[in-house]
Amino acid sequence: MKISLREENGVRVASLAGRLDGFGAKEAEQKLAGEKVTSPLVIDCAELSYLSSAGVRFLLGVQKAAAAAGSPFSLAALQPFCASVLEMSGLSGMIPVYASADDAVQAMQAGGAAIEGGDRRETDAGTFVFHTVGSTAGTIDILGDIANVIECAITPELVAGKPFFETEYSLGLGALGGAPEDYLPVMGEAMMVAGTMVWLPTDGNDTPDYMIPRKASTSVVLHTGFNASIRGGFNEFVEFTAAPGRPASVREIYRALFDLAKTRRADYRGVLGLALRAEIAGAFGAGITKSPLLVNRPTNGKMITDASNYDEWFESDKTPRNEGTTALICGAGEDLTADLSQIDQDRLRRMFYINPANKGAQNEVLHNHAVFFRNAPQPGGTRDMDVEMRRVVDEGEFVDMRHLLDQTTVNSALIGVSYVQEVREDSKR
Amino acid sequence: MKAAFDFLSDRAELAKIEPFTAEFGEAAGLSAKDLFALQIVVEELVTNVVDYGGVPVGEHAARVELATADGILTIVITDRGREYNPLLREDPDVTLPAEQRPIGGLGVHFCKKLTDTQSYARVDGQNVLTLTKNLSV
Repeated sequence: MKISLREENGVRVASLAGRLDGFGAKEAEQKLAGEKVTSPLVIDCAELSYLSSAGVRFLLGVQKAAAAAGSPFSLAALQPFCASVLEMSGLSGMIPVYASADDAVQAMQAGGAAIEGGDRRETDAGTFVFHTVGSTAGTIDILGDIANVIECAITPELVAGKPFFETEYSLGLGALGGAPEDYLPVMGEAMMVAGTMVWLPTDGNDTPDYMIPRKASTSVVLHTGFNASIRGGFNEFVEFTAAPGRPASVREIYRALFDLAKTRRADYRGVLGLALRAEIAGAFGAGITKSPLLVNRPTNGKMITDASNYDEWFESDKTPRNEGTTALICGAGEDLTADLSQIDQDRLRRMFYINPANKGAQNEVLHNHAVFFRNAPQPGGTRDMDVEMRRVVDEGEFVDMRHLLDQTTVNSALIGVSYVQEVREDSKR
Repeated sequence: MKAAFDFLSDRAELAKIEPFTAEFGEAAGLSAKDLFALQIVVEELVTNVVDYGGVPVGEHAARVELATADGILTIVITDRGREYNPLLREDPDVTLPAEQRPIGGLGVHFCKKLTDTQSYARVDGQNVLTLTKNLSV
């Protein structure tokens, strides 16, 4: 068992490599024994190949000590076998499990001291107040290719199983289900946000399927033909308020964030990943209505977004829906006026497409999915995007889920902003 | 496919479980998932014998026999430790909050979860534990 300790932004990261069995647990205990338990601790399990009951007892001991000291403790990057051992021991719901050590550090430091003040900016869209919450380099991990959706070219081989993580922010095309014949024909708009997984099955009922897996689980798998995940947490926590009586569109909010980033952020590379808790004035949704499998390809051979096919393949709102709801939005935007040369162009192309129903000047391409709630609790009180969104999930009433068109309008929002440094291949299959 | 391995009553012996089971797993063509289950079961049960069986250190403690036939993996663990049927042990309540968890019992719980049948016999002064697992296809 190899154990290394480091500290990142006030969070202790212990990387365990090898086997956490009876012998490994003793070594780990000795190594961590002298450590102070007052600062947050994440155990990075990326290199952990084995976990036995003795290993679980060790983790349980660390959890007890951390709880006694009132200090956060989490696990990161658990491999499937180790995750299944944790699940058998009933411990996976009790210790937070993050997809990566970076995600854990981000979340655990953000949960710390609140930041006062903030950088206040007035724009045409409304007022933004920026708070720095993290310095991890943001990335978007991309799986599959949106072109296969638009060209109706999804084959069973192109569909990957994506395990659920509590801390995942992602959007794509997918379905839940056991066997390929169950999930392939009903794949639709899907998203993971704030510990929930939501998707709109293309089964003709236009009714979203909504679930909150209680914990990171190897048994909850989204079968997806295309998926984009925001990784590394958020760099800034932003409070947005539109001018009274003039709600701002999602497009205007992205545009303002793009323009401000050009002067505010040296690390701006033309791509943003966002999570929003937005108070909706009027939502315009769009949804694919058939699973874009190769066998369903339109007989005219054109893309499903082509004018000749669009109405048959998409349901898109002409009038606003879900007024007065609270939306949890996950999305990304590409600023066509920025220098995008530092971002891999091929991977970028795989996550954005032109939806003919998106109206407005084409200086930006956006891709957003949203889940809507009524009677959500008042926003604010923390500067932690994850906490703010989870409160909506826990206390609000689930209403709807849609692919979100850019003309959707918002009265106010809390926004987690990731300044994307790199678009990567998603290796999590 | 068959294999057997003897373990002395010594914690250092536990390091031999991984190579022994991995070699068998490869020869028997076990899936990664089945091999992982096999390793956990053998490790948990042999550890129990070494730690609690009362066999003097350095003496022969347990023999592990593995066999696959017709898609079923059979694990037989014979030990000279004091009479003990782990299957009678009550399953731990895995829904309890972390602070209220008892320390023991998890290993046997894993073994039951990861195998399909379990039986115990006391034969000639030895504990004989037989577990079978339907292999994944």
